[in-house]
Amino acid sequence: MIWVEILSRQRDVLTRHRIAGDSVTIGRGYANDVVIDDPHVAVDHLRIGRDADGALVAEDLGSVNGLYLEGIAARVSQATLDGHAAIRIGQTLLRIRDAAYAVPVEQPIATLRPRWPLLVLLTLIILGIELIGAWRGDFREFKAATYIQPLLIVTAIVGIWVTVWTLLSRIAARAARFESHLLVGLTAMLTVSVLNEFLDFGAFAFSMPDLVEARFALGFIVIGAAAFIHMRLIGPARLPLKLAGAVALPALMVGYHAIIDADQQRTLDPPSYVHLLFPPAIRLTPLKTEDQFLKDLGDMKGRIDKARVADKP
Amino acid sequence: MNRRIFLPLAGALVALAGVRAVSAAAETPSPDQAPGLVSERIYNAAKPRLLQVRSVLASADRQSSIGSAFMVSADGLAITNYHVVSQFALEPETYRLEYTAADGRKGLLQLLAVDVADDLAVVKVDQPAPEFFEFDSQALAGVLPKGQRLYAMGNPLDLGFTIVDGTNNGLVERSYQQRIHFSGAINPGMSGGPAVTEDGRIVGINVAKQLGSDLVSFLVPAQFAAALLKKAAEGPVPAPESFQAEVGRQLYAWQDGMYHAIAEAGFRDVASGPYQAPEPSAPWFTCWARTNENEVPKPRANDNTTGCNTSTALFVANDLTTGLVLMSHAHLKSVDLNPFQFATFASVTHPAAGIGLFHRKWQAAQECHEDFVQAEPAGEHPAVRVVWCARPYRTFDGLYDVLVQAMTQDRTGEALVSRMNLQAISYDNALGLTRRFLDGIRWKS
Repeated sequence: MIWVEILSRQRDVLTRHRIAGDSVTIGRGYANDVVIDDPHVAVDHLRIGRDADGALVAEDLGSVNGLYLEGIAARVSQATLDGHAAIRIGQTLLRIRDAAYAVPVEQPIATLRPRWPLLVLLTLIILGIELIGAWRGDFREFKAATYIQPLLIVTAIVGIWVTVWTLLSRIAARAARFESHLLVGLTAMLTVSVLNEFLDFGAFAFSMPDLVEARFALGFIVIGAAAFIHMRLIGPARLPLKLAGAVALPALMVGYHAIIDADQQRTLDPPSYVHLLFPPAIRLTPLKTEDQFLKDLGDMKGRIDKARVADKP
Repeated sequence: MNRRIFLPLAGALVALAGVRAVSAAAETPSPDQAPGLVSERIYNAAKPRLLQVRSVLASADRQSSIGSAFMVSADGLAITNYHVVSQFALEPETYRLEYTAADGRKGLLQLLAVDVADDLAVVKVDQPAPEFFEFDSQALAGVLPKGQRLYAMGNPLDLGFTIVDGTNNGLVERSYQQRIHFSGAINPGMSGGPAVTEDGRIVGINVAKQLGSDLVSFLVPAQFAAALLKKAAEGPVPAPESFQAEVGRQLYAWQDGMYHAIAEAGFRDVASGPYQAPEPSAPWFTCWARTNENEVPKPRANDNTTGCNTSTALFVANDLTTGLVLMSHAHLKSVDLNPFQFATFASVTHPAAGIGLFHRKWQAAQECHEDFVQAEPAGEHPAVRVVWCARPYRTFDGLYDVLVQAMTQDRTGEALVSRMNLQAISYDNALGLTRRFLDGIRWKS
């Protein structure tokens, strides 16, 4: 008995044919055991048989486009099949297995722990951070919008992000996996929120305005990582490509930002100092003496003068 | 209701003023001193000595700015304002200087000397001048009587040569630069023209008028013109390209003089809440205060700011005035803000930005440094968070616009935000003033 499986490009089984006996013919013609509607497949393209040891062997019957074994670039006229690697005729992927092919053991169904408490908890933490942030910076008269607006904004961002990944998942993997995507989306949002808080605090606490600048880069690294996890959820195929995409996105954005920043340095005269202040107790860097501070200012002169000369009219 | 009461009152004031003016005219004694006759005589004598000065864009052969000048020597030297010739002085390859005399003669002007601080320049016409002005000896000695009648001449708005009369009101108070306050109508285009006494002698050079006021105009005292003329007559003729560096040198010297004068005049301590902070004692600072106390909605933190700034700025080019100095202290106190909200209030209402307009033609990008600083002895000074930014001038070596902002860090719901804007200052002067400034921020003794 031989099983012929026709696969999608994502290696999902599209159709599965069970053939009694030790030989199968495959082609476009209706004289074959398995008929394939691919214009690049010959009328009689392939015969599957067994060699002396009983292993399955595929043999090209003289087609124009030939037979290819997965993982080997060159065309082959004959190939021994292990039931694992796919073969390609025309533009169709096939996988041949027989009754002896060993499948993994049965997996127990994971205890169905409900995930919504975790999702609700994450959501509440994110909204809580936003609320505290809005309250912390609210020195004007009370307006409800001051507090509602940031909540709406994060909700919209996470909502759109998760919806897009769920739809992609539904299309590509035929499973929406909404809860998993939501978990990834919320985790990413929480990471970005916490990171932003720490950068704001740190910039003041250590007198390091550059930390505020780092927000953009770190944000995109988190977005890239989240995108990679979403793509893994959709399917395990082509992981290196997905990883490359997840690395390239933040790299490109950070590079672009650096270029824009360098342009602005010369043209917009941006005062690069810590804009958001905190109570004195947040300071972590030691106090400088006046002499040390003035010495630092003196050292800055060389940098300023150099930049002045470098910025030719 | 209130507005209605004011209208007849205002009418009465106008009528009164009219009566006074008439009576003042009636008291004028001898008939040959009638204002019309005097100014006619002065103008007729002055006419051949007056010039209109044009900055001409060489490539288009069109004027880009106009001013006035007047002859002061037989060999063709004339005096005008620096700001009338600034385009040529800074960009001699793009502009040239031309003159038109009252009789229609035209020609090229040669630039001999500039004095940026006093807004003066000496130029030379391309032919000798048989008639020229002389300086008034009282003006040179600086003892011009207040109330004296003066006559200013020039070519306002390119309408033709004009004479206007007005009154000498002495030197402007609260100004680092010496300027005569002239109550008369000086208009654009008259810059660089002469202001003379009844006997036609120079007491000053028309330089500016106050916007948003009536007949408040300013003259450069004659003694500066006489000094610059002497320098120009004795020295060699400089190349046109040399003036940009000369302007830079003069700006450098000017700021050195002014900032030393500020330091010399000293500082007085002003109290703000539990703190005291330095304010310049030099008389040419204008000091003010403002509060947010009665704002609507009721502010959740009080902001009482006092400050002092110089009121005169130095004209360098059409798109660059500089030299302003500002020191201010904002005492912030929370009403019902928590420490975080109070810190945000301070960051939003008193950002460490704004040294003045950034003009890339004149300045390169600024850089800032910030840190927490404790001045010695620690028992007298609160710790402060200082942001210090400097922006170098591109064209003028060694000059920077500097901003210093220090916020006290000893309390959670109360702070002093002290600030200093120092335009066109040398790095060393800025560092010196910064030290003096930080040393002056202390707890009230």
